[in-house]
Amino acid sequence: MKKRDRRSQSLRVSESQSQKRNFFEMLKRILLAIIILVGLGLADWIISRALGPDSYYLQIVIEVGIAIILAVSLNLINGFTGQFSLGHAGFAAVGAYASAAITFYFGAKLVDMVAGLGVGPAVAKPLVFIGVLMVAGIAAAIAGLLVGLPTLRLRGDYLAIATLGFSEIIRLIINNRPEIGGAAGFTPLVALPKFVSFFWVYLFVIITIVVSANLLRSVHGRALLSIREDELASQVMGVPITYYKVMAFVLGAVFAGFAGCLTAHQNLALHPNDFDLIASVMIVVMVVLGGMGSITGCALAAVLLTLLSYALRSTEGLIGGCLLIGLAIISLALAGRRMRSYQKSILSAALLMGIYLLLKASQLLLEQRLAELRMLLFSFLLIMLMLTRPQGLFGAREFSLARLLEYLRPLLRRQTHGPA
Amino acid sequence: MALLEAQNCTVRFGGLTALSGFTFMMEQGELVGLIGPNGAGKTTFFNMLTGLCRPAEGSLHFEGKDLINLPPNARTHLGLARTFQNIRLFANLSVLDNVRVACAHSPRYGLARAILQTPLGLAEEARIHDRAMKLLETFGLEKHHALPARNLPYGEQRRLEIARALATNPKLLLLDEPAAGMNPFETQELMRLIRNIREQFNLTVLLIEHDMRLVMGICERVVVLDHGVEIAAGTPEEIRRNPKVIEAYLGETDVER
Repeated sequence: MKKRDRRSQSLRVSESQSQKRNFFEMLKRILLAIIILVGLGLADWIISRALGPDSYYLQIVIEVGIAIILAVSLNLINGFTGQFSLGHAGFAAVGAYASAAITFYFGAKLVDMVAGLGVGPAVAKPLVFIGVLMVAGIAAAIAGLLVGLPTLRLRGDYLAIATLGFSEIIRLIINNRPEIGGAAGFTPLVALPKFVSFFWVYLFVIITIVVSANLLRSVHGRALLSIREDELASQVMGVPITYYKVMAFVLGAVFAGFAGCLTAHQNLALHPNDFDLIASVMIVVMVVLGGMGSITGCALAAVLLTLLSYALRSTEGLIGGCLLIGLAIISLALAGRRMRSYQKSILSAALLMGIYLLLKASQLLLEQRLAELRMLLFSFLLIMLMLTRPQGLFGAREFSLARLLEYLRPLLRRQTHGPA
Repeated sequence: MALLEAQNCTVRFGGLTALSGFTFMMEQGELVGLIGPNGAGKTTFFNMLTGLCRPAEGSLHFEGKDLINLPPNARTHLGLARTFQNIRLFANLSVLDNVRVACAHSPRYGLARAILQTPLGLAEEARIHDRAMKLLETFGLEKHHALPARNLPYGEQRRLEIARALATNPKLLLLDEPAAGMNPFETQELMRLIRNIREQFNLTVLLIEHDMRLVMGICERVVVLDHGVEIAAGTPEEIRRNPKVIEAYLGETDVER
């Protein structure tokens, strides 16, 4: 007890010493927040002007943002804490359906009520939407708590199975509740006008990334990492692992809930099958591909995979994908000379698969069965990426401009001094 | 009142009794060595003290507080810290982060303050950073602070483990074979280090060790375990001459005859 008192006293001294600096620090942050908000607003305006408010491309941009939120928040659980969760889509479903139910049944009433308080409807709608988002977050947080607590003792595969089971339970419950659409899907979310825009989605992208990054740089983030590294040693060093494991689940779930709410109010339609195992696996793939524990890596992987899945929907994209496979085969064959024997055996399997895929792809292209071809190419590209970079695009590192410049410097120098 | 009181502790793993009726006391400021052949129950005793396994019988008190029902992290906060026989550093975290994980922080510095990076949070982070760096300096590791722990040479990993244990602000430090795998020169260094930190941090130290030079060189009292039972206790000199100890280590001898 005495020690604690002394500690807080010394804190107080250092607080008063640096009060002035703290004030400017806070001012700087508030300014930064305003700049970000204004910047997002501007970007929103420009993008909706450039692409049109309901364009296909805007839809893709928004979907990319939602994928980033999901991947970065799953990274908190899988990448930082090392708890392998396969139920992230389940959390998103909780958030999506909770918020959709509110806007469907009470949305119009709530907007009227808030508008009746003296603010115009233009202000009332975003206010209600913020409330709805909070409800989605809280609902998902409760779900995270419900999953986190009983699965504390589980590790690795067992935890993955438990979380998978949980997300299936959520999906099946939704399937059987006619009040929220049941198996037919929850379609007419007409009570609120569609106002998930670029601004809202990317505001939450920034919030998710900033929260993860700040967390990582704090005592609490390091506690999560230490659990990933060695749970037992971490506990013996005084880290309350129960608290942190549940916290990781809850925090990850909250952001998944936000993402679900944004999806619901972007698509204005929900279907339980949007939140099935495949959806969860896609998020896990983003995290693994980006690099477990790398925020920027996960964000980048989310962008790439979402764009890839859209790109492969067009014939041009499919042909491009086939070309990529061809390229991959050639580069693998070239790289094969420098490989170890076990890598060679994987390689020969990949080569065989690639050649088979190319044949199959041309057949599917000729027969115009594009949807099947899309999944084939997608999985092949994933396998190629995992073969060439098993630690993920970024490993556990973060993207840093300084390191990039360091890396590029010799190239730049050669360009400027090369001819002389 | 003794700092640590373990009364009649018995630990069983299924049919195997790793520790039976072991009673052990430690006073504030002592430096005690725990020795014994492999499988004698030394590490089991450490595990029981730090809460990794539960005694079937017996009582455990630290500064008069009952430990039996406390989880490992709560025992650490009371002032028990340990190192591991097989090094268990956070291999992929930096040397600095390894120590920072173990540094306690103000209870007011919660999750919200961390995410919002409030002045109090930043001040706490700065304090923890300074404390960790100071510890690393004590152990001569400050120049490696940014390296991942797994890249350190073996001897420095051992030192980092001790630094990490000290970051928890312990009263009693438990060292599990700190000199394992060290050459004679490094062992000498380690002995000096243990003496230094003991004075500097006002520590009570209990160490398990097979290197008799280290045990005989720095321990004031030695306790010998064999098959989970205490067979001897006393000063290093007494232990060295004790026939029972020689028997436990070397098998039946004709000393008694």
